[in-house]
Amino acid sequence: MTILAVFHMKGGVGKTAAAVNLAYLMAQSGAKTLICDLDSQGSVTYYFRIEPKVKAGTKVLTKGGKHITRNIKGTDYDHLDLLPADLSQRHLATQLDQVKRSKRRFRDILAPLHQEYTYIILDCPPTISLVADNIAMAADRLLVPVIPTTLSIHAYDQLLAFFRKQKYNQDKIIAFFSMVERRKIMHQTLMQDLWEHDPHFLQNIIPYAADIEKMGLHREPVAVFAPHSLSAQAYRRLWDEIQGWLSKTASV
Amino acid sequence: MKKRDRIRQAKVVAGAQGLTFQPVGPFNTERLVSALRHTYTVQAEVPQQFPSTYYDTYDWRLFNKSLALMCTPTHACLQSLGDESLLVQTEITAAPVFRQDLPEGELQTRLSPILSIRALRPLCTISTHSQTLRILDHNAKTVVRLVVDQHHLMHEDASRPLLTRVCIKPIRGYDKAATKLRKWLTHHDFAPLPGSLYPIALAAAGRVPNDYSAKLRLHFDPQARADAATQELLRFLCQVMRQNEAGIIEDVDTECLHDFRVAIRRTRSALGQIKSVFPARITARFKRDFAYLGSITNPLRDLDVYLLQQDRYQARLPEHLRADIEPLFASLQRQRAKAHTTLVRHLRSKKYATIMTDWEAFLTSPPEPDASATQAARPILSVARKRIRKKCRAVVKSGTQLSDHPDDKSLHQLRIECKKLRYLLEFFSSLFETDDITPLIKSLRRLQDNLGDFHDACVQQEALHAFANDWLSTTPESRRTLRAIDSLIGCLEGDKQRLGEAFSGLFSNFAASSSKAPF
Repeated sequence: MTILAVFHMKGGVGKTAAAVNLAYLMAQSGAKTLICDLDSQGSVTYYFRIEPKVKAGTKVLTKGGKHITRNIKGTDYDHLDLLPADLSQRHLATQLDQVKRSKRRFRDILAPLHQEYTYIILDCPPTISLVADNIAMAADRLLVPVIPTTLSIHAYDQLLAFFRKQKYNQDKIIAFFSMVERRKIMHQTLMQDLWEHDPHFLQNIIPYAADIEKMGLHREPVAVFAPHSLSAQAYRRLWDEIQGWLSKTASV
Repeated sequence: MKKRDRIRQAKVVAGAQGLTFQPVGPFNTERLVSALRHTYTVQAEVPQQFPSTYYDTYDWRLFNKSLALMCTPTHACLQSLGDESLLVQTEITAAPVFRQDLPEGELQTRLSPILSIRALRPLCTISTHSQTLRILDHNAKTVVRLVVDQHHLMHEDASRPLLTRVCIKPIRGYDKAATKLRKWLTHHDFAPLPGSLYPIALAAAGRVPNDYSAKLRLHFDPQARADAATQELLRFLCQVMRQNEAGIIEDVDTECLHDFRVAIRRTRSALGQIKSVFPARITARFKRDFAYLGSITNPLRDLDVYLLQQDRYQARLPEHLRADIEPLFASLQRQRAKAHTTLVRHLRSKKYATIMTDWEAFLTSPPEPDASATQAARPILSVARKRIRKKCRAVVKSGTQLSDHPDDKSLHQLRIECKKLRYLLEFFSSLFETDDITPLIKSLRRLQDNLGDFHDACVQQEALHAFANDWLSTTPESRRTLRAIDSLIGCLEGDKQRLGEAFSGLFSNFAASSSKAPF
């Protein structure tokens, strides 16, 4: 089982779109996949047309066990299940603080799922709290979408600093450029710069695309309502590249 | 076919997991959809039509293991016979015939020991029109699926309606929706239909499971007349021969000829061992005829056996010789093709037709009294006991002789006596208590295996010597082949050594069992 967390401290970087579209591609290949919506806003849950409510609120993520299994819902797509978001997750950091092994809690509660799922993908809230610690410890990889703008890159740098300070393994970080507008010279320059100096960045990028924005209207992954679009192709290429990284560096 | 459609089809054929229902009365998908729409929001997916064929060996090996193998153009699905639950599914590109045709993986691993060298044959083909109806909630989320399958049987180029089923496919986390739909169906003229499609399809296609079996499972009335009982036995064996004719001619697999020959051997043994139950001239005539029938099958069977050994031989050779033995097998393949053509000619000949027709006529006519048929009217139980008793003694005598004089003649003699006894025990085991007879059969079988393996090794060695003599060693390649053949002969010599050492223990076991048996 591989746990992938789509993470960024800033909102609006294309995190949820990436989580949904990548989860769909994982499941399409036949691998049983669980997408967990950890963001109390519940965007992933909304995209899959599922009600943002779980029984027992934050106990799902602090206690796990049957609280998780009872709340998992099948999406409309083969091999893809969802653990919905719940509004109570806005208190998650506080709740985690009160439990033992507070930084490893996610890792512990996700472990029993390895028999059922090949991939677990976490859509993370934009945060740097105890939730972020849990994600950093639970995930095999962090997928970090970065818009090639100064502020977004600055937030990315803060993530690297956070990892250094907490002594988490930086090799877990896989970054990719998101919401890229190729016409913008600044985007080009910043991307080139990072590709030269930072080994964490994937070669494939996700363009800024109207199709991706329309996901909220269709409430479907892009590969479903626009399978031949540039954005669908972009996510497919991105997933292929991520798979290459996963197999090359087996355990991190 | 697009990958999406392939996956969809795989989902659809995954069997009736969940809840299956049958409409009571005439059915129409449009009516079902409009009835559902009074209560639900329904989205109908694009229907699919695809054929599926069920396969099994001629002797129903999968069926007898409670399995069903169903293949669509893209998938092979192994189902549990009782409830159609899907056990293993794999992608295929062509219908499998032999176990080696199955793609590597769980399905092949599971079926290999069951199928062995028998071919899979299509039993019945079903054409399914499948439509999935999605029940949606207020978010347009699918909360439960209902798959409507209309099955037609494809029989002799025509299509006949077979069965319509609707199957609830629940979605995780939406149990209430599935339960509600189940109640809805029950209240709208649908009855639960547990069980699988396969037996229904078989029956509609006129196929009866285990309509062919070469296993002797006859139960005689111990007090029945010996001649009538023997006719019954021989009728069964004749039927086995008839049932394998087509398989031999069409060259389905090597077991067809094997079963045919075993039936002939058993027939000859019965004629020879169950003495004086028929008029002497009849027994003499048919003994001659069946000796002839046995002999015409020998050439092809011998070649089949060598070719079946190919993998084993290659595995036993050192690696640098393995490729070199292949020209030998290529030559054997060519000879085999010729032998097959010859046998087919024999089976289609007037001589064969006459023998079998006369034989069938004899077996179905009431026994005629005759001076030479002294045992005809005696109860079969006494006749069987007497013959078995005599044969046990003969085996013990031959075995003792072999221990004293270990030569080919004594070995041959012992093998023959063992075979005769074995057949008698197989014919008549139903007349005796299992506890009495099983130890005897077991120890005899082990002894026979030892003798048979030894004999096979000798025969193979002789054949290899003959091949080596005929093999033109004019090229370096052919010289290498000769060396490979020599190497094989050496391996076989080692086998013979080991088997010789095991013999005396097995023989003592048999002698002990036979003295305890109530004959």
